[in-house]
Amino acid sequence: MKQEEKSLKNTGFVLSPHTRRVRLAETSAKMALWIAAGITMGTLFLIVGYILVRGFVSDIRIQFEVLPEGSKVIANEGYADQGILVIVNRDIRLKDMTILEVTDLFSGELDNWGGISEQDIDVRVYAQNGSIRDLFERAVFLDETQFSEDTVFADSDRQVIESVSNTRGGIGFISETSAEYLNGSDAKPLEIRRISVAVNGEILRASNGMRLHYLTGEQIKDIFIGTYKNWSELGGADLPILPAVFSEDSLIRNEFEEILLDTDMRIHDVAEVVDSNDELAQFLARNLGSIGFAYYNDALMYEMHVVNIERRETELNLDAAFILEEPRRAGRVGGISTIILNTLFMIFLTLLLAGPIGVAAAVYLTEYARQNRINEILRFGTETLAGVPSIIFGLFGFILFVMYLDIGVGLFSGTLTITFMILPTIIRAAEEAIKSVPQSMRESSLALGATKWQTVTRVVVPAAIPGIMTGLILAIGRAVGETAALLFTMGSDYRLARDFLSSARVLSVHLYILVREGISFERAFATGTILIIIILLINFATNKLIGRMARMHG
Amino acid sequence: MKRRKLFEGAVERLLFVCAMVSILTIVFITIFIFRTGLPLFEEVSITEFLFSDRWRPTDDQDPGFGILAFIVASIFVTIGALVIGVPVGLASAIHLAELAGERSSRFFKSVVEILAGIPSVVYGFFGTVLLAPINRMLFGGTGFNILLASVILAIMILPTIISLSEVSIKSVPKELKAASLALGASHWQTIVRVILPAASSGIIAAVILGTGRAVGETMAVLMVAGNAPMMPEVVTSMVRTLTMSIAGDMGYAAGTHRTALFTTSIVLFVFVMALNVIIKIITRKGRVKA
Amino acid sequence: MQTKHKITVDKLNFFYGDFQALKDIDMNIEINKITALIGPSGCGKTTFLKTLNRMNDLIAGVRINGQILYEGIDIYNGNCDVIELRKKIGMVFQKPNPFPMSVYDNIAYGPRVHGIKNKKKLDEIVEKSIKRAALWDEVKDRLRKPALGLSGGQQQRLCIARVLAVEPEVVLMDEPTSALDPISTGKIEDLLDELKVNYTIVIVTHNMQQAGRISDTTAFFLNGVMLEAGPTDEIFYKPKNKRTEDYISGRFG
Repeated sequence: MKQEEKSLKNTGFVLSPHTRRVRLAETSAKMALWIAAGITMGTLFLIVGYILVRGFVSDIRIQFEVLPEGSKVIANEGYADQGILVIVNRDIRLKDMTILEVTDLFSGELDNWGGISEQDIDVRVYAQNGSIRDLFERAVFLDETQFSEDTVFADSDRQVIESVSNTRGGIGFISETSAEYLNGSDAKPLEIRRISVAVNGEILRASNGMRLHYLTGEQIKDIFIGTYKNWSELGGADLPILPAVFSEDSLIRNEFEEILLDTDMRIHDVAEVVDSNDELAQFLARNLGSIGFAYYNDALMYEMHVVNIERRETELNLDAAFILEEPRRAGRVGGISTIILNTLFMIFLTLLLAGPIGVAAAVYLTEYARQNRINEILRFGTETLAGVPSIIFGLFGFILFVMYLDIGVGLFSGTLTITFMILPTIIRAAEEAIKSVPQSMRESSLALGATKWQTVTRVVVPAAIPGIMTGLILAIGRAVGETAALLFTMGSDYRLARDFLSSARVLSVHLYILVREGISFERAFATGTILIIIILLINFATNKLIGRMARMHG
Repeated sequence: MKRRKLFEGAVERLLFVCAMVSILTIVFITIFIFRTGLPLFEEVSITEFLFSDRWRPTDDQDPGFGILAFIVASIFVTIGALVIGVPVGLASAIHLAELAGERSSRFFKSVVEILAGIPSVVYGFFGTVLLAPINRMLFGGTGFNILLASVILAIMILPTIISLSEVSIKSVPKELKAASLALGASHWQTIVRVILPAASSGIIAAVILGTGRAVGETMAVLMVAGNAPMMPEVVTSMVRTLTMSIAGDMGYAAGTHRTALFTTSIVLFVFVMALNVIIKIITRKGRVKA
Repeated sequence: MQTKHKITVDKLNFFYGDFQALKDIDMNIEINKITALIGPSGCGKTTFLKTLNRMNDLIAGVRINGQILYEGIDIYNGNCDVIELRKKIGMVFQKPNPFPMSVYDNIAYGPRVHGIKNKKKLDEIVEKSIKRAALWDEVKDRLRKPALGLSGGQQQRLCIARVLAVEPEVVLMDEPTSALDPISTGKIEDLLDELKVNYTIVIVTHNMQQAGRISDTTAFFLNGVMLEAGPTDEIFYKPKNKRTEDYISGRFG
């Protein structure tokens, strides 16, 4: 009995110490493998996700010297019912403007909307004579500023509205009493941001490392309702905050409260009340830690220290307009329509050139070539070509096509260069596809009396189309992604290519230039997004094709 | 009948010409690059070119055409890419081949394919906008240095390493795995002692191919490596690789300067071709073994 | 009388996904005997063999009902460690599959994997195992040479030696001689006869004559069901089931 028990114990399948260690090693190793796989996947999602998100939505923070919001009606103190509306043509993509921009537009400093709304449209100023002109000048222009020379003066609000509606880049002003006439017209009023926040100078100066750079609208609100009591709470020096406000019935006070405060909030009782800009300026100068608000022009006039206010602008980055608009001003303004078209041209020409040659080569290698020396060399050539770095192709293309053959930098040189680069991809895929056409197909065709060429063109190649197309699509992907070689051979002119010899900028080159020159990161993201979307589409298409091929041969 | 024969013959010859395009291009490229680049050695000795780090092509008085700094930069950046990319890539490949289920394996493969298709300029862009600031924060300086270039290149060669390694691992005969498991080895022991050794030639080929890609990469490094034509000292040094020096100066270089760029490309070309030949040898050996 | 049965199979049902490959198998494998599993192609005998050392675990989507007891212990129980199980139950495959290593490393693989590092001990085990597999004279001078350089029959005996090096108690064999020439086959059959003294052997064979020659017990499988099992003589000369008789006499399969 004892012996039997012993043998049972031996085969207990209990983990021996060594097996335990082996199991442990295995678990940790497998965990490491999962982590590695996770890193790879995570990297892709990070890259694609980051670029796509910032490509579609631009979220930037800009600092202004005025509050982030304003009001549509510009009024002067003492002329409460004679408010002015600034109107622009509806084509202008803006909702608000700062008073500085209004001044620059009406005075002729800015003659193109590009700097403000990023649209390449010329500014057309429409003004009025009469009392409204005085009010406008008082509220908007500082001292010596004049209307621009090209300003067209109208006689009535209705005329201004009509002119602005009919002119793409039109801007004008009307009295608020005529607001109803805007309905149904092609003009719209803009919010004008003209209130600035001024502080005592000390706060802005560097003192023991604590220096205030800017405030946000939220912070300003909280200061004035009393939530913050000391500048150190905002990253500034250790000084108590002393807010100053205008009296409750003043226009500016009302505008300030309307813009910043919610209905149930009130300005802190401790705030000092001032009656004039002069008083405010003196209060700010004399009291450490003081803060107040005034119209921007007044702040300038009374030499108050205006603090920067950060505004966050979230808006669509890559949208239909971007794709359909032309780039202007070195790509700073506008979209990328011409560049997309140039890229399409390149794709088309490349396919025209590389497609037939690649497929023909593949046909030769699979259908006609015998197993001899020459054909081994041919094959060797294709494989080697695939390993050449793209910059060398660029050099080669540059020297041969641009210089030696004197075709110059342009579509043609670029296309020729790219053709050689992607040829191996096409040949390889076409070869695979043709090889996998069942031999029986060829035999039946020949048995029916067809010639070799007829068999190839009517039976074999058509059967291999999905595979060939996969190769072509992949090759296009490579071509679209290629930058260095194209920079030298196809050029960087972002206008639409006029003919085969025109220098033409394509998407990848555009992205590079935008980044290298620091022209516009928002546009760079949008361009990068388009490139990524192209890659995703290519991936999708080839997967579908491969799926179809698998089913066909299933 | 005769006409048909003539036609078929002509067709075959035409196709042959098309097939010749590849080999002709290679020959042409080689000839052109060597022809344009070799003349440099009439003015500059090979030793100076390869072993001096004094690169002053536009100095009229005493020009220097030493590309040692670029060679070293290319080497460092490539090694960095391999150090990061090979472990992650190989581990991912093992995971794909041995651990992943059907669904997740297909998903993972799509991910790898997309990574492979992303253009190098987009990688460079990504490095510039997201990784460079982080690098700057962690290590100071501009953020554009060997470290960043290595990280970006590592990501770029992952697909190559993963897909080729995975194929090699999968092509190890299943009977070997069965034999090992039947002897009581754990899955991991089987992978390490049987599968990986059997797949070694393919994996090495994958790594070498990845090396070739890293060495030949232009745009991404152009955007993130810092572009200082000096010998690298630390991992945070700004550098200029061979590809960067070619691409960077090509637009405006003239005379001897331009010739020197071609000579640089000879060095690059020879190196990459050598790698390709090594791969050929290894894969042929591997196949014969099986 | 429990200890006479090394392995007891109790109402075993096995599924590949929806397809049921084994139905209600009840069987006892006797210690130190050769049990042969015969039957036409696709009848489930190899599947059954692989359940004994849980090699079927490698396939996705398999399900198992019933019990397989190794000396009274359920091997499909969560407590049973597969690595330990396979140390006790070894397997030789249809096609010889030596590792692409030297002869020595092939044999030493098992012990090394189980933690034996001492060179002297490994040398001992290697020599002992190769001798037990009746291969020593042929390889003793080429231990460090690649195993793939051996002939087919030698490779298979190498695989047997490789299994023996782990010191199992049971050796499973999946048509071990079907890929070999008659002489090698004969050598291996003689070997099996020697081995059964120390090991319990279960062998799947397509070759009825082989089963008749070497086995003590035979089980006949048909369509996933074990129709009949018993002493080989009985099965071959006095089968109880008509279909067994048909198969034996060659009327099908």
